[in-house]
Amino acid sequence: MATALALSPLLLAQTSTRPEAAKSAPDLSGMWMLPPGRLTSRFRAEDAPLQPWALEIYKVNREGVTDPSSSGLNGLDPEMYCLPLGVPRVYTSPSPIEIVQVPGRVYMIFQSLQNPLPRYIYTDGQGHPEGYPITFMGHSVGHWDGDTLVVDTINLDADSWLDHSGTPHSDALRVVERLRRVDQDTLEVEFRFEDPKAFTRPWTGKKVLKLSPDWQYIPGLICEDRFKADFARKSLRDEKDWVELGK
Amino acid sequence: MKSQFVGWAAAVVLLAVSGPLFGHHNSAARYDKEHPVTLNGTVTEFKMVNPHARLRFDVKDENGTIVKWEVESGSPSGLYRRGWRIDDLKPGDRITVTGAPAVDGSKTMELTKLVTPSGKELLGVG
Repeated sequence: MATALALSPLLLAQTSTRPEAAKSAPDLSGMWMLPPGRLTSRFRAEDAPLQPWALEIYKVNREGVTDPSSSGLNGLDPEMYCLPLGVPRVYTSPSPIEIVQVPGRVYMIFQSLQNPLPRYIYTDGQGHPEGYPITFMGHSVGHWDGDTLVVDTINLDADSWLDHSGTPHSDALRVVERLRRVDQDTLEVEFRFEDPKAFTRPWTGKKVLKLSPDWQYIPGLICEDRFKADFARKSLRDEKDWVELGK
Repeated sequence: MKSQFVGWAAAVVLLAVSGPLFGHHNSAARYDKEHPVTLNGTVTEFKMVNPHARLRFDVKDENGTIVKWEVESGSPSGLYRRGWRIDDLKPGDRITVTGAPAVDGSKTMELTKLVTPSGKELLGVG
């Protein structure tokens, strides 16, 4: 009895702190989509502050392209070689990003055919592991700063473009995102890009996404037609249907 | 065996340079959006497959010759969002198609609007 009484304030204290804890970690879950706009293919209107070698690549990626809202050239686009968009380029895709928030982890599932890989953001306090491989999604850790999820990403593959525009980067790229649900239907994401090997100074950008709850997920790969044609040719299955696509 | 391999290798090279059947980018350069055409024809193939749905139809020209057209419409997810369903079109369906024809003169168009036999209007993506 005495023990129960002694514990009760503690129990009270626990229950009273819970709502506050929940308030400090708002729920970002939902299907988020860029509203149509002119400059969706980039993080900001101005070009990135590129070092000379990177600027040269950027110019080649956009040779003959004058409209800043246009994507870089297909023939040089990693996407056209079936490579994933990766982080952070996937944010310049018009296809939605689904965020799933669970204790210790935030998942991003991309609706874009160009990015079939999910993204893991570890919010359980772990840091970036040592010796982690370079990938298109990189390694992401996150923490809450008030109502904002701050995500730090490194280990990004330099073969990916930073945006649809064709901005190059190196494997030293660090992306810091600040995600905040400013209202029920709006997610603001502020970006800071640091790349001491490719940029002359840190660069920033912003995306505002809107909730798109009625989106239907239809899984697929951007090169499914090519892969199917390859497979049909080898397996001699359904040949004329798919091989024809290679013509 | 050897000739088969050469043919296979050539096909792989072709595929490698052709990329996905329809690129997503710079469609303004590939299609003449200033001069859309409207055609009546008969569906020969419709499949809501990735990365882009396949839609082909035959049009009879003034000489009675069949001209085979191919339509760029969009990805299954984009089309689904615009109300397209896999059983909306089947071979033999008479359709009216409006779109921007390819600038290179090939019988390919970027779809603006399509009307099915039941009167359902289907819009293209992009």
